[in-house]
Amino acid sequence: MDKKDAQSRLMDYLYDEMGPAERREFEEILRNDPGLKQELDDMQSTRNLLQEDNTEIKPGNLLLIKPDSETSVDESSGTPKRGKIFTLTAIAAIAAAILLTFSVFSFMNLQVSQTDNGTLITFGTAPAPQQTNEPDQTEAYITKAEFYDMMDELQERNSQVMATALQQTREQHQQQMEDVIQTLTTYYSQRRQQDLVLVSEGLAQLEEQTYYKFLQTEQTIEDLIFALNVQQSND
Amino acid sequence: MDNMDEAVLIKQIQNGDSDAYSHLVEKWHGRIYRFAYRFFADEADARDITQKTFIKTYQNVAGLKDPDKFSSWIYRIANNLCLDELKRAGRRKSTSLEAYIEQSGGLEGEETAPDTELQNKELGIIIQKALLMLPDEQRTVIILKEYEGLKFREIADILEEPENTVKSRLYYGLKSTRRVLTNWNIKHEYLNNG
Repeated sequence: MDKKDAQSRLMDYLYDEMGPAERREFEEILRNDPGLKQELDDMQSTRNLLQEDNTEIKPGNLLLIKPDSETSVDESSGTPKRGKIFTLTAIAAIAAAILLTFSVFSFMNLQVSQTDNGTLITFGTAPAPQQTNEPDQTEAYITKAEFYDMMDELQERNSQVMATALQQTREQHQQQMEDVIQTLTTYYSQRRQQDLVLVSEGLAQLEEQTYYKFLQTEQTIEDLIFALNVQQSND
Repeated sequence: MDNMDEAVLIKQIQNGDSDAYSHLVEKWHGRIYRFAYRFFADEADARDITQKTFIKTYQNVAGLKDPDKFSSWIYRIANNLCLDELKRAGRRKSTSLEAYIEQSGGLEGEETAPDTELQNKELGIIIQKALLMLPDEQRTVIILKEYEGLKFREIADILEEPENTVKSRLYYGLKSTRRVLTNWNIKHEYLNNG
């Protein structure tokens, strides 16, 4: 019995897929082959462990949707359902809406006509154009050329106003800038004066201190000379 | 419902009986979900695979020539969808057994109770983790054999592989599982007692 054959028979024995005669023969082999018997025991214990996994696996509800269309297959009936019904309903609804619209328009005698002033939509009989004896009012209206002249004049005025406003704004900005520069100049000038005064005062103070220290040093030297002279005269 | 009834059901579906398909879904829904759940240890993935499996079944059942083979056929669809999902996800959902053992060196860092206090729930999680460590083809065989209780012949039919290949995968799958669990210090009586 080669290795492959042993594996195959081991699996048959382990899963009880052997005939009685073959089983007895294999058990005899197992008795004479402790290594094979140990392998069988290991396999059996692994199987026992796998069988201990009694995890409850509960499938949820199944909704089948065909990936290539909107048609779904309901588990309970197994028939194409929601997508097709929806499509049919939508088509029926659109057809009903169109039919209803035409019926209403027909009932209300809808008329659509084109006039010089645009499209005329009427329900019932269209009103006849009013015939009046009033004088032609178009004379009271301005002509196209006059309109363009007015527009040009208006634009020119607007341009002048804009130019004036811009000029004023520019001048204001310039004035503001000058004021700011003047303020800054004054400020820095004052600071400079103050600094100069401080420096002058500091110099004067230093000069005075130096003078006093010079005097003190001189006085000390004189005292020393006097003391030395006194000592020499005593000697 | 035995295979013969199932074959009748399939024929009814092929003849356009939508109620028959509903019965079929009702019958297989749980099994396919369990299979996918064991494969990914993830509810969302399991739901997704279950849904796709039944859509594919619905689309292709008319072309199923041998209704007696429906069981193998639907498991094959589910298994292929699981493998496709792994490929699509760039195998992020699967961890190499060798790499995991090398880098983990046991379950010390993870929240595991001592052997004596090992609860069923924790044991279930550990087993699911251990199965995820296995190569896909070994995991599939273990799930189909241990948890779905199929015969070697049926598994071979599903995977379209020789029976000996299936047995070999199961043999190495069990050995690998034992190796993972031993590496995780699962010295439970289950592993020590034959």
